[in-house]
Amino acid sequence: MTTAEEQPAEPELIPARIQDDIKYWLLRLPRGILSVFVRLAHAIVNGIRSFLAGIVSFLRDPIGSIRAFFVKLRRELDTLSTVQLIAVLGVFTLFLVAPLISVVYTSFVDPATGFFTLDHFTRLFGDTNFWPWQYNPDTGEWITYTDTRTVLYAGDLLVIQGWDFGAVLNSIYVAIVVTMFSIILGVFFAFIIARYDFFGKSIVRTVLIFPILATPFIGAIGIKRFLGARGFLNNLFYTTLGWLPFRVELHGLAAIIFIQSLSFFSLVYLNAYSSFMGIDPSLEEQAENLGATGFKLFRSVTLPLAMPGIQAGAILTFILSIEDLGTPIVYYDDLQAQKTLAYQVFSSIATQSGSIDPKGPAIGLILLVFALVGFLVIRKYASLRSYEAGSKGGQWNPRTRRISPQATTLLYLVLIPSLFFALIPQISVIVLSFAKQWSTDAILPDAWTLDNYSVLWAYENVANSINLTLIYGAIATVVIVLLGTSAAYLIARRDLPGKTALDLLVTSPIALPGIVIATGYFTLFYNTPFFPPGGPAFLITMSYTVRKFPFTVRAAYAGLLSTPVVLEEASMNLGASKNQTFAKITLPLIGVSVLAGSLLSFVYSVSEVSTSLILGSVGREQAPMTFWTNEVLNATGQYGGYFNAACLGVLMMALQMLVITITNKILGSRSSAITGI
Amino acid sequence: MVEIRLENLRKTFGDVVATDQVNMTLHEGELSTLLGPSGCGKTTLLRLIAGFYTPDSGRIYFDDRDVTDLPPHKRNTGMCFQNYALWPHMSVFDNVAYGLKLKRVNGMKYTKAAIERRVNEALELVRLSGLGERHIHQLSGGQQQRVALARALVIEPDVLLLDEPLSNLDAKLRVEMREEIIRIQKELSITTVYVTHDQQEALSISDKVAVMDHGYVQQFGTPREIYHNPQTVFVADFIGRCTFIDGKIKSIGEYIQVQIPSNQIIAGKSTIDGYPFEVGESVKCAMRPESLYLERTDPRDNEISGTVTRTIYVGNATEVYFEVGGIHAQALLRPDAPVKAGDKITLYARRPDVMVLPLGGVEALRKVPGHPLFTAPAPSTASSNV
Repeated sequence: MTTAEEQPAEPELIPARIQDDIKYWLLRLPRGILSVFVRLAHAIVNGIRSFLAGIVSFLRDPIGSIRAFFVKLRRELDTLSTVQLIAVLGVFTLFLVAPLISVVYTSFVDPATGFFTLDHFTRLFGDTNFWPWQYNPDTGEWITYTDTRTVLYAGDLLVIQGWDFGAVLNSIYVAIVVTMFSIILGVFFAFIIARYDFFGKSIVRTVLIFPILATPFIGAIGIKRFLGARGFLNNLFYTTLGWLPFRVELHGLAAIIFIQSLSFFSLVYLNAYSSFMGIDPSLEEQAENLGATGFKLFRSVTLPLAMPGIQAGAILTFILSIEDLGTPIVYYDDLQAQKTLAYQVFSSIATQSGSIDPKGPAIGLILLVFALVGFLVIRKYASLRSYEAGSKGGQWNPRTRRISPQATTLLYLVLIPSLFFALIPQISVIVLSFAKQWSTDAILPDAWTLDNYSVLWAYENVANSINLTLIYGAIATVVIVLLGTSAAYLIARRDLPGKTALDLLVTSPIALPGIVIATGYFTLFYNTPFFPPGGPAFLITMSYTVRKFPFTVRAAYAGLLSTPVVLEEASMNLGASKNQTFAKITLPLIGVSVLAGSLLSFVYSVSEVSTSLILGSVGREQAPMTFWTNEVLNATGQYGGYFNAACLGVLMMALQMLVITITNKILGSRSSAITGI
Repeated sequence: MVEIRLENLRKTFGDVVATDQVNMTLHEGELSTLLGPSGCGKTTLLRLIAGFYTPDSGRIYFDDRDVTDLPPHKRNTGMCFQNYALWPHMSVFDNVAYGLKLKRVNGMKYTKAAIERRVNEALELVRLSGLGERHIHQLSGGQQQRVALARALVIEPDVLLLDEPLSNLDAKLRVEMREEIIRIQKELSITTVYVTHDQQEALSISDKVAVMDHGYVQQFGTPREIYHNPQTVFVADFIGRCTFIDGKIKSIGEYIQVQIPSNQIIAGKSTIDGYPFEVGESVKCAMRPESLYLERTDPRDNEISGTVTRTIYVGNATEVYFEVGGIHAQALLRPDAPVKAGDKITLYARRPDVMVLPLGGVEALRKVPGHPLFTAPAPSTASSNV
């Protein structure tokens, strides 16, 4: 600098000591955590504010607003798009919005009198399963029913379980812990794959897609037996090797945390990976040029730039964890696992009779609020992602670094155990499906067999349910493709008034708990032609349609965005109408994206758990495969138990793997379509 | 300030040779430009100097320090990327302060006050005082460019590296920022390497220009040398405009006599000191449009006759395109020159203005003993005293 020679009055340099850095860090940590929450709150407040602003501007000139709305609508819509719009809105109103409103209504209305009441909620919070701090009016004392024991010791068995604070708090803290584990695992893998080149990387990359295969439901089936008190790990380390002084078993909420983390981290991984790959390399090179390396570079530049993707993945994990019904249901024999919101909704409405306890909808409402808030925050962050792609076209040098053989060895020392853990759900299900018999102290099953798989065709109910599932999935997929393409086209290409609301509506199912939707089907449709007693087939199909809609919409939308509008304008310039252009130009161009999206919709329909279990319980003859997986798991006799249930899990995983491999090939690196945000 | 010496640098990417045989000394305090068409290896060379690439062979010295194997962050260079590479999650101030916060001088770090003072000074230098709290996306393209410059300069780098810094700006802003960069560079007299594909830009700002093509440095010299004494056909063609006429050398004396296909003789001079031309050698005669005249000034001037195909009036001159024995030639005449399409014209070129160039590109220069492009540069005594 020009003044470099001048002697400054105060010393410019002070000793750089490591302890100062650490102190600085520790002091900043609380503020950093706080700022995350402040920003979350901001996002929520801003969303509400802009919503209110819309209402206010409408109220200021209601007639003018309505007229402007219709003028614009008339200009943008022709016959085809009117039909498209009405069909999309019709399906979503009938099978998503109406049931949800019905849930809200039911939870505030006294079924006997039809008047407004908060009774369901007061009853809920008077239940120790829900809220552990209860007031006893007789004694005037507060009684606490929490259980904070995490390690129980009995004989040679060490049981690890979670804290128990009642269903509401349990669900929240489990979701938070699962999200934290998922972030750590997901970011760790994403960073290694995105930034390092090493021997066998492509294999590791492929393997990392697997965790997304099994739903926590299927994973839980495997893990419960595989890692149980007399499962693989205990028999290896306690019985055979004697390295452990006791058997270790995960119970209750601890088990749920473990299984969900292993299933959901891949969501964070996929999002973080695409974020890391999306960072303009010169942004990191500039930091290196200025003296940043290693962790400093990662923390100050790489991580903040990847943050939007990581946060989106994390919030999705949070929502999926809080609404997950599969894991608690596999662990239902453990009282603690029952104390989650999802399980409580399930147990209050899943009855053969179809009658439901109004506290089900009330719990559903609580779940819905969490999920909706999360969803709005996701949308906020997903839209923030645009800034990472803000490169102005610098030279694109991939930032992958080849590492030395020694470093590779070191890396694998970390990778192999972590990958093994990440794949335990898949491995265990596969091992169980081939087990003939597993004696109590053996590491692996003593005898192997293919006979377990006969459950797929020899057990009539199961065979039937597989066929039904494929039919439900196929019908749902056809409807999804028709409506999803329409919706994506309307959002991307037509300047409809309120199209952001339409976009919000058709992508929201990704975050709306299936159990709440299923609850709404009960409160709204039970005993109507849509939902005759014992006949849930139609609503199962519709629930798949609505819930797996976002995958196709997002894929079609991405396809449309990458197709220049000028191609369509050229067609219209040459005399084709909007509809002809849509059929002859647009559809062929985005066909591949739609195909990929619809495959995902199909496979996620087939493996859907929560609505399937709830709706299936009132009509076992028409219940889908996931319902019967649970039935087989809990049944005794020829076709019952872990080994047979695992076969159904393997079938599901094989199907998913096939589809995801195909989609990956088609969509390339646009992996965000898989997570549907 | 340092002197940069590049010795026999070679960098390949797989089978593609990005740059090869680079021997150059970039003197301290000078602004040197790497100029060439896209894909010529100029950015590769810059990134080799910055340390983002390691050369396959050859060495890089900053003064007497061999920095070839030093990682980028230990070279104390300040680099500006083509797309500015400003971090969108930091304010202007934080962007500029980043390097200072990391900088250690003998194990000491800068105090908060010192960082603040220096950042403000740097922002003042690039005329952005008071914009420290802005976010990057609130700045215009020119302002972003200035932030990138301030960020590179604030760490008091030994070397300033600029990768096409003006290519994202509009024409007017580009000229403005060009002046700004020269001003700052002279003010700080910092050794600077500047990459560009714009020859006007290169000629107007540089102390030295290295013209590159296909990974090779074709010529390294002052803008004047590059323009008036191009060493290869590529350089003559890439810098400014030229008419080329093929021929064979008939005799070599004070001037070289070249017989062209129409059997005419053109006399010109060699632009390469010590190049051993031989009688009978195929060569190219190169003429700048502005060195062709309507009037003869010397009886020994070369005569070039042809048919005018097109004239373009450009205000301060008339561009004349004409054909000489199947060759398209061009001349820049005075604006009122009485020439129109279809005319037969005869133009005159002074013998010193005709440049006789060997064929074979840069490889031909190997025939010159000890040519600096193929000889590792010796450390200059001046720099080792610093």
